[in-house]
Amino acid sequence: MTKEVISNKQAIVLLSGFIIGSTSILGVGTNTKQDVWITLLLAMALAAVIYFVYARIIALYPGMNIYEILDVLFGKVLGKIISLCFIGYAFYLQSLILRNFAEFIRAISLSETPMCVIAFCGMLLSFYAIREGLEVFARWAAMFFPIMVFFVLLTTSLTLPWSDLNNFKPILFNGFKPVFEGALSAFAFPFAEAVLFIPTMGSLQQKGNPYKVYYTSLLIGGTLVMLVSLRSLLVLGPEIASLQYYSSYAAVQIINLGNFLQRIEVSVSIVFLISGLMKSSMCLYASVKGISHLLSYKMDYKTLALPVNLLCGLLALFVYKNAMQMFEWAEVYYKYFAFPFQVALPIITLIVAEFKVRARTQNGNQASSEE
Amino acid sequence: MKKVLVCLLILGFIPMIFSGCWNYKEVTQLSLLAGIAIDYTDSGEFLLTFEVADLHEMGEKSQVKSVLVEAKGQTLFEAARNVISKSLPKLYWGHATTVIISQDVASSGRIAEVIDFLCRDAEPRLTMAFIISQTKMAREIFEAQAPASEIRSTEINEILDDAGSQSKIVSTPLIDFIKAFSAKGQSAIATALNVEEKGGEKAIVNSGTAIFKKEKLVGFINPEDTAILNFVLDNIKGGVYVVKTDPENAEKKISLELLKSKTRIKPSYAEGKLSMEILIETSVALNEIGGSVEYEGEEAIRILGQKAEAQLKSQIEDFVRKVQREYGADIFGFGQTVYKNLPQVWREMHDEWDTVFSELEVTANPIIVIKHAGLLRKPIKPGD
Repeated sequence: MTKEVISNKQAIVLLSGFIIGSTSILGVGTNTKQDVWITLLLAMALAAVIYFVYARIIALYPGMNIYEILDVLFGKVLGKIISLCFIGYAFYLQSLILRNFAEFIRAISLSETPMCVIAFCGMLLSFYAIREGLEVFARWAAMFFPIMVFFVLLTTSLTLPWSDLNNFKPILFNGFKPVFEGALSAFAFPFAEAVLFIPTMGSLQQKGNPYKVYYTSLLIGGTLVMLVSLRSLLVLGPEIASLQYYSSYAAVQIINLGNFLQRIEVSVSIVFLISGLMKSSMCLYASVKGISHLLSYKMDYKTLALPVNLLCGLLALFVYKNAMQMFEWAEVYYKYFAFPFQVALPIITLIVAEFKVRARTQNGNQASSEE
Repeated sequence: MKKVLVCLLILGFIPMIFSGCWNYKEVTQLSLLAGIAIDYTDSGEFLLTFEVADLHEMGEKSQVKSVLVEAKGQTLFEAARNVISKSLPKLYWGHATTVIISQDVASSGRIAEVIDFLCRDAEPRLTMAFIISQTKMAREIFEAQAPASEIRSTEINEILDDAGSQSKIVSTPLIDFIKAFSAKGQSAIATALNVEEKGGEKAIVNSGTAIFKKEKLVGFINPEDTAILNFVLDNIKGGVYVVKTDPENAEKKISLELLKSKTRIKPSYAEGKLSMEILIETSVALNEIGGSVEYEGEEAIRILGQKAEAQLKSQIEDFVRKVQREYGADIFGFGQTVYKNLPQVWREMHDEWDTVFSELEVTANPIIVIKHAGLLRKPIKPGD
């Protein structure tokens, strides 16, 4: 099996798309109303800390897959168990994204189509993406990412005439506590989900810099998430923005330039399709790569893409009973659920890795001095 | 053998691919909803009147016409679906431009129900014009004649689109209404329309603004006061402002064309007392000198500007006082301004904002700048 390699730029594009992901329609921190920008900045600051952990793990073992790293660090058995947790999280997250995707399309346009049909279409796309391999997908992403950015910038600039800067006021009316809680939610979704990008980073080119990838993506992805959230706040005002399930969709609905340029809210769906596909495919890659590793590479991850994806689609259909449950889960409980995968496991991994690497270099030094 | 199998497979896939969308809707099968009027029936049910664009007679000669369809139901959604039984295809709401609500519905406190329904469904758009009818039934608006277009909803939207050149009308898309409705320290307003009968023909006319307090309609203000309200709300985009130059002679009036206007509301809090200052900066052009021939030269224009300022100041202050006394509804969003700029004061006062508002001291300070006086150097005078 020849090793797949992606460049720094491709990794940045993939990770930025991953960060925007389903946030482009679900919105983050709408509960904190006019303080959403503080919430997001705080979440990005928290993310900057944890991204150091992620990037450091990769930098310590360049050219190695995270699952191989886990084996090295924790031994064959414990390493495989941790890998399994990680795979489970990737699998679960992908089904959540598929469900978001299906739920959004059902609510907006295809209200009579069975959800399995919509979920199946999303599934088919990410299956195809991973089936073709990471390199192909990365090239595809590099091509479509500018289109996505273009649409975000276009819709944001078109909503400017309806934006009211007074919606920022008053700052911190309800105190700092809700903002901090909102920041924790925004940290868990979408920023720290980038933990699932670590397997992809295993394919980063030799001279690639994982820190640069993580921090540039945080900047690009974070800015785009910020734009989308501020657009909803400024156009709709805090009350309506927090009322709407799909507030960024509602915000773009307002655009009407001289009765000519209007009804362009479908562009929000375009952004969501591209970024959602990137995110769900990266999750799929993380899970199949891991399963392939568990099977000692007897099966290529590309072969596994179909069965895993089908299971994922099934899970997506019954993971929530209804849309209300989906939003409640995302806003209230998700941060607690994701904490072990996003924060605890990576930090433990990093600590062990630091010790091992230190020990190794010390041994190496001793060995060289003895010679 | 293998080729046959492949062919069979392809044949099997063809019906799946070429059968098209399974719940597709062709344009001819849709009824395009143009507008909707919401009334009560005598028994207290909702009575919806739909204005539907009739596309069947579209051709080179025939104009687009509209059909009125009625439906009743205990809830709005039930009524909207009951219309299907009336031999009309399912209504498509995506192009609806107007919602008209009768006084009865608006003053019964069920307005939240209506806007919730309109926002919850995916088809209606937040940019629809939101209108309160001053007629007894909202549907009477749809029964009036429309001179420019065959569809009344379109006609109404044209009136509202032209609101820019006439300051006496307030345009409230659904989104703006909801914003004001759900905002802290602000009461909602909506466009008010009426029907006027002239020589047997009924025509739709602007009748000012409907004022809400919480979820109830509390009254209407006339188009003249609406112009003043637009000054306070910073809605002035054009229009005419008439100045009476001589208090003793009502004949003497001057028309100023409003070019540009900017309003800021400045709250201030001192010694436990809250007060509001309305700062307005307006650019105007002198367009008509009705019987006031003495206005010529720079100095005279300056004096005219001062007169206009004084008149606008007293009009605004009188109007605000009237609203405070008669309706007690904070349609100016003073509370919202306090909440945004003096959050600490708002925290103390928001519980008794109704009483605070009705006793609020409000001053207006308009600055009117006359930019030009049209094409004439001097007023035309009779020669001897």
